[in-house]
Amino acid sequence: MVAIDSSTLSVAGVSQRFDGRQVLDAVDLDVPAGRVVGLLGPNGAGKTTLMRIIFGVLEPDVGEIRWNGRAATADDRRRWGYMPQERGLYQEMRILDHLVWLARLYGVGRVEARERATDLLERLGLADRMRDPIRELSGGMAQRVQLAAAMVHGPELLVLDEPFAGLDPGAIEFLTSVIVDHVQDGGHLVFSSHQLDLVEHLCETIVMLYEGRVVLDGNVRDLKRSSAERFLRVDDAWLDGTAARVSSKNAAGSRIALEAGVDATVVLDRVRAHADVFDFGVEAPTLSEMFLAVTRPLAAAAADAPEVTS
Amino acid sequence: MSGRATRLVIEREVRESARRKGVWAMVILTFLGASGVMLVPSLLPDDPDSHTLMLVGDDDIGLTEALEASTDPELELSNGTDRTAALDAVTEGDADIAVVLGDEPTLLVEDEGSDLVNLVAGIVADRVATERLTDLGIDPSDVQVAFADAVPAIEPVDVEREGRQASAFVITLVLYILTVVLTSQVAAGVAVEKSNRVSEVLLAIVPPRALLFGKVIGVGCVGLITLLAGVTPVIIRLATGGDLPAGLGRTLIASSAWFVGGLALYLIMAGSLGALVARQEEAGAVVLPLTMFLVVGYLITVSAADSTLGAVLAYVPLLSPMIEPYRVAIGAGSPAEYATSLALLIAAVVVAGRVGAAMFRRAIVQTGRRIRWRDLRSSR
Repeated sequence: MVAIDSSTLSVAGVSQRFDGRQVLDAVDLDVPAGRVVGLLGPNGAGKTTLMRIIFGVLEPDVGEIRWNGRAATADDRRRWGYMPQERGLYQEMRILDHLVWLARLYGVGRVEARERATDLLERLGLADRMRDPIRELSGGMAQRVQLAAAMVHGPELLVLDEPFAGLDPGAIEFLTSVIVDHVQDGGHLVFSSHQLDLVEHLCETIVMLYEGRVVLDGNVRDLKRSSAERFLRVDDAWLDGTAARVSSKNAAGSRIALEAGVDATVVLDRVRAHADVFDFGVEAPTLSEMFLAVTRPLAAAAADAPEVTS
Repeated sequence: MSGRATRLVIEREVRESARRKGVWAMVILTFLGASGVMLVPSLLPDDPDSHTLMLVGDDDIGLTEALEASTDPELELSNGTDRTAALDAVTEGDADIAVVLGDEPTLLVEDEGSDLVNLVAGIVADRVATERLTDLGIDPSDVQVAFADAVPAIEPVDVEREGRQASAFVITLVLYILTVVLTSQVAAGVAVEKSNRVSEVLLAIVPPRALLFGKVIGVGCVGLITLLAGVTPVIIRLATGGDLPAGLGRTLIASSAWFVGGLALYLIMAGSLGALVARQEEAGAVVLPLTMFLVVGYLITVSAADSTLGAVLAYVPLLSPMIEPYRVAIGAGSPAEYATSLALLIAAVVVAGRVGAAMFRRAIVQTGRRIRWRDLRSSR
């Protein structure tokens, strides 16, 4: 659990049920200033529901959203920015008009809203398209406008739901730079993603959800350091009776899971005896591997549980 | 903040509507239609103030004097040489009527049922009868007094009823079309916002009530602007000292009250129902019951507004916006009926506002599938 400083968004014990299904179960999450927080998990884990609860779109069955140590109000939420997973803009509206209108809804004056929207569009490389209807934009450009819509009022907290979904590498790099700039300026930021390895380098802190429950959370570096698992990355695997197994194999090489207490150099020597090694490394588990490590026993337990009929 | 948010939602609806060609087409067509209703009667040729009559033969019965005494219309007299000349004059339009005098006078006419023919035939008959009574030794003035006393008095009860019915028919048709179009527009607009998740962004900023009522009032403003476009020719006509078609002013005032109330009721319900669907394509189906009420209301209005059925249904808020303006126009109801009907409509708008807002708040956040009624009951 991340320590709460004086300026923090806190999700405290939030639970939610839909149609008799537990979508969120006593979820805690803290988003301090100046730190990128990743809300990670597979599709259906409850990430979007949690974000909608954070913004007051849904009211939780149990728990509350706190801002700076007290229950968040509608006024607090107007100082936050939300980018939903799916495009949430009027397609027929002109880009500049839309951003100005949203800024005014957030409480910004008309003149200032126009200045902010214009500046933001220039910064996002959309200055020459500001009078076009949103429907005429490509997917990547529309995503930038969606991001601008979440940022046009200069929010203290940015909540981005699956911001990297469907983006090409250039767009991912651009969005990453915007996220990093926001937190380096002292802002709060939490984003969700089901692409765990894609965002691994970006998150300083993660909260991992599985079937509505937090299964892993904390500082990414600490989590990796504390994990007992280690992997040897080599060009090709040749284990020949060594106390290790191939975790994954693809065109880029092999990833060998080392059993506890096994010396990585012994395994590496065994591989080198059979083939040249041009690139290798001993690594902590990735976020995906950590996720699978904690969820596999849960999935197996659920499969073994007797079926309850009513 | 809620008031400011509602105002901004209204502003967006009106501004974006102003960009749509379809909205302008509706406004312009309404203006042109109303202008037509105002202008067409004045463009039609009036009955001329005077007509020409040709007399053929000796006037022994004092017909010339009697005809010259007519002032409405005035009759210009000329003399013809014979029946053939009179026939030619009427055929070629040089005379409206020719009277061939003799023992049994004959009228040569083109349209035997016209008011002018009846007038002239009456004058001729009067002069012939006077002449014959005199020959019989009876004082024609005594006979005239006797006939005058015998003719029943005629009291026109409602000379403008027909004109008012026509005005009411036109106005009801316009209101019906406007309400149908705007109801669909609100439902589709809400469905689009829900399906493309605009509502998700907006609900993080503005209360659901502001979102619903902002749209309802915004689209309602478009309706009122359209109505204003229809009323403008009437105002111009009045400002320039012209007369309105019979009963139009009274019908317009009554229509405005029920139109505003009816539009509010229908649009609130359409907005709430639009929040139930998952896709825009389903919006038409979900407001079908509302459209059916409008159709039924319109059909009853044009066929039986002044019947007992019309009188009863005039109290039903979903039907009264169609029926009641028509009943007011033709004077079919009483002031008590109008006041009760309007009060019930206003009460229905208030109830729909409360229930609709609660329904909208619950439905708009449930995405991915069409919402059932029990889903609304079970959600908070």
